[in-house]
Amino acid sequence: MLRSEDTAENAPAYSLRGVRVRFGSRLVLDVPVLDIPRSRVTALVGPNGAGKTTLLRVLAFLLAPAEGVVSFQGEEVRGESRELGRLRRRVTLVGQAPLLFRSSVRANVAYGLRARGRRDPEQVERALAAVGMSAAADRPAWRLSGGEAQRVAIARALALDPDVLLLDEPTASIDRHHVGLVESLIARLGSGETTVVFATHSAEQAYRLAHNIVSLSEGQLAPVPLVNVLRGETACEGGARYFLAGGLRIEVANGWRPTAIALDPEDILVSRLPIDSSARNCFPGSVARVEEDDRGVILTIDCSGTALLARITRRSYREMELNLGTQVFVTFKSSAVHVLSEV
Amino acid sequence: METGSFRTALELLATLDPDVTSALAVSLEVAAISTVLAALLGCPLGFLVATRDFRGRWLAEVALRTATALPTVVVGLVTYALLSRSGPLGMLGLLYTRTAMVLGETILVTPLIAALTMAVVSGADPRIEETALTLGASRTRAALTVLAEMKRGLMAALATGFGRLISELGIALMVGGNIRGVTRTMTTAIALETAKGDFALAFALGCLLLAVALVVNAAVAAWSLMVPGARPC
Repeated sequence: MLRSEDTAENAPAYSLRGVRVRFGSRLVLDVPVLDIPRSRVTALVGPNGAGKTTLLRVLAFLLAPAEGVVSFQGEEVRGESRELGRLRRRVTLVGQAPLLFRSSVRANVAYGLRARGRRDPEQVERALAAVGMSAAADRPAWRLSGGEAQRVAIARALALDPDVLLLDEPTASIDRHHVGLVESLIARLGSGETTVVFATHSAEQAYRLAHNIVSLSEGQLAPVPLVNVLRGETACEGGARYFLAGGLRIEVANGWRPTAIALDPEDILVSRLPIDSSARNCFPGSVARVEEDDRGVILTIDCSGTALLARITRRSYREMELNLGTQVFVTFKSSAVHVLSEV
Repeated sequence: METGSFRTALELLATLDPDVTSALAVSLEVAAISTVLAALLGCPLGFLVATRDFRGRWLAEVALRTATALPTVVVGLVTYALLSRSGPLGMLGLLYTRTAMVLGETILVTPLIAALTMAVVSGADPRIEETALTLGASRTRAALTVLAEMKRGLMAALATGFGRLISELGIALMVGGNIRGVTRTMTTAIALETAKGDFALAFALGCLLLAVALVVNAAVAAWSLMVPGARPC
């Protein structure tokens, strides 16, 4: 396919078309169409076994799909060995249980630079500092805890300043204190030139950090972002169907007898007073957490013990004078409820 | 008689008898060079068979394993046929030289080192190669990284190869020719002296041979314990 330079400049980091991966006869990944934007943060969300790791390995050019086309920055990847070598120098993957080589922490972080024939001790030190591991530079890598090893593996990738950084569950084994460090690192990289793709089973984390969310379920792209997922059961009362989850009684327009639902945080209205409207669901709650990203403010609202994420603009946030503990009401239409599974 | 031989043997060792030291030197030289050459050939071969998917891979595996059981006299025969005056490499005039011995010993032990490397690499964590690749290493560098990470196993493989060579008799005799001071090794000397009835020198060389094997293996074991990240195997 012929493309002008111009188009390639604007092309997404990755375009996948009809990509299928099989392990033996089992189809583990089936992605008809997927574009991953450049210089943005994309989250792959889904439960264990959803195909997140497989997709990341395809994006890292470590696993060639059995079928389909992967394009990188507008160029179709043919899978020829020299081309893969070239691409792997622009893209790097940090695995979920990363392997560190049997050498010092510093030698591990310098590995990729050495593979490029470069010696850049300052770059290595910067990468170590970014993950808070400077003090451990001379320690033997095999003596690190799981969380420390994961941070060193992230530093090892950062030292390369890659075009694309792929992270598989980057905060899974990291202690609480350092989760924030890694998360802000992801956010900072994503606000620059780097394309970041990370896998997580936490929809909440995905929603907070990513510009773009890809939901995976059993190797397939799932239609809705898996945020505000509630599990419960359905009850019928007076012709209406209610979904009972936690202390909430949610009116549902779609589905027959849902057992799990999801709510898009964009679809949830937040107000100081109850809203008298056509929306069928309105619950009192209190603000439990406030976070900001480049698109606005994400509120975590505790509604009778159930946490719901709602996205509002910075302006609304200021004008409503919200604080932790502020009593609010959340309102959403029964048609905004996505049914994830039903009986 | 027996005790007398043994005492003489100790004297020969203690006084650094030239026949003893020369046989030791030839043995060490031939075994060391052959081990290095066999490692240069066998390690990459074993790595490729262990990690690459190709048609007839199992055949290659079976062939390698079979070749570890090569009888030394067969290798000696083949090497002799190659190097003898009427053989394809006859014009090189290498028969009855240490070079000829090195050639034969390398042929003998390359499949052994390749098969052991194959076993070591098959047991390696697949993430090693993948991590190296995703950090931008070339395929060759990634392979070297895997071998470096598995260096304890590889060193054990090399020690096994060296052990086989230092104690090898058939090839040394057939293509070396047991020329005193030139191609006479510890094993060929033992064979000759025993045949001659000079047990003292044979005993002395036998002890020395065992000592060399002991020192090499002890050194490898000690080194293994000091290797970074050593874990009990």
